[in-house]
Amino acid sequence: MKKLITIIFAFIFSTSIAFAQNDATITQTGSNADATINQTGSNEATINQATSGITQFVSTINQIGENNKATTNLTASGSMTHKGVSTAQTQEGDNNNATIEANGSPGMNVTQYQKGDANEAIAVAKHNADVKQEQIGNNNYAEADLVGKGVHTTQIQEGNENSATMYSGKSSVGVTYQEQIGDNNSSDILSFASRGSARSYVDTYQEGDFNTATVEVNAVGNNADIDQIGNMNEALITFGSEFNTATVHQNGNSNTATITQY
Amino acid sequence: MVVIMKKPTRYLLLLLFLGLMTHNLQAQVAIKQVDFDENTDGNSISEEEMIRRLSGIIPIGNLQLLGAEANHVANIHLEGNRNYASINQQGSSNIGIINIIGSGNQADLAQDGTNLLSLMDIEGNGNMLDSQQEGNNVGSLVRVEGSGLKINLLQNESGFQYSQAGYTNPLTITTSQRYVPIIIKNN
Repeated sequence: MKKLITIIFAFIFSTSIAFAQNDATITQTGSNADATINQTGSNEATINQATSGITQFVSTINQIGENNKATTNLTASGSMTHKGVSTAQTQEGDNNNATIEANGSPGMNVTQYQKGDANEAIAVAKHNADVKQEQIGNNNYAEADLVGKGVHTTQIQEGNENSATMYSGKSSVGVTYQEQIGDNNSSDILSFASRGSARSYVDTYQEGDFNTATVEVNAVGNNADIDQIGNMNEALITFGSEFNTATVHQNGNSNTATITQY
Repeated sequence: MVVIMKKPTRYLLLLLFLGLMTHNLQAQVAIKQVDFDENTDGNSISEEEMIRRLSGIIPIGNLQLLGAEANHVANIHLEGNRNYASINQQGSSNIGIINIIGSGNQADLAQDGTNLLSLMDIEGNGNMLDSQQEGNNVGSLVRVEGSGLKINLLQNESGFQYSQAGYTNPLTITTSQRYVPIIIKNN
């Protein structure tokens, strides 16, 4: 009898969990696409937009709760002229995941904001995009994967044990700014393609202790600047090509700065 | 190469110009002693003015690196204690700059190539500086202030080497194929 009651309670509990797990998917094609998803709880939201020709598309996902997942896929084809193209994801809660893939969509305004613990934000963007990732909380991870010219990237993190990475492949004339306030954070700006990040400017600011900032670029004509305030921090800049400028400013004790140019 | 070492009271300025104007000229040594006062008056000049003048003695070929022709430029600025700075450059037309304010810091600079310039300004006690430049048309401006220093500067290709450890100031100049202005300040 006791076993039967336990099974009944378990069934009721699993049913309630299933009701709390909402999934929403919006798929749009054509021009002038506009999609918004607002969710509270442990939800999953997906927006797929595919456009061609003269068009604009806007999408927004707002999630409040735990274990949420937001995915936005933007696909553009043909010779395009965009106006008002933007996508935004906002998550407040724990264990969130936000992903934006703007493949073939130049000139996008990509915004990801997360406030909570153990968040993850990943943005994939093409040329002339403006990518902003802001995370407030602990154990956050932000990644921007960029291809093309003139991409502006901003990654801001407040808290401890955060990680921010900007990876560029065959991109140039870009501007990247990373800011981390807290301890045990790491920031990376990486480009290994021969044309990657050519003539670009990257700037990293870290305030706290035990932080690590790394810039590794193998393209021509770049400018890297790392500023660190605190103790036991490490700055590493490696340039594998010509006409690059590397600058490190550190204020504190027991810090390490290494610049290698070849 | 400019080396400045500060003592609190009276200053003795020893200015050495060693080098060749061109490849066809013989090595020249010019030693000139100049008195200067921090409070500029009469014929004396200030320390800042002397540094400014000496900064202009860096070979022109290296000074041009400060413009847009530089290939690599590395600049490290540290404020604090027990920090470590390292610059490693390979190739031609490179500039390495290390500026440290604090104590117990360590700086390493290595340049290998042609048309090299290093600027090192270190202020504090117990700091360590190790600089090695290998190649042609090498120039450096070094300003060190403090006590208990460990300094090793090496310029190869018939260049200049200066070493210092602790409170003594051993100075050895072997050969020079370039301008080497030096300022020593002590009692």
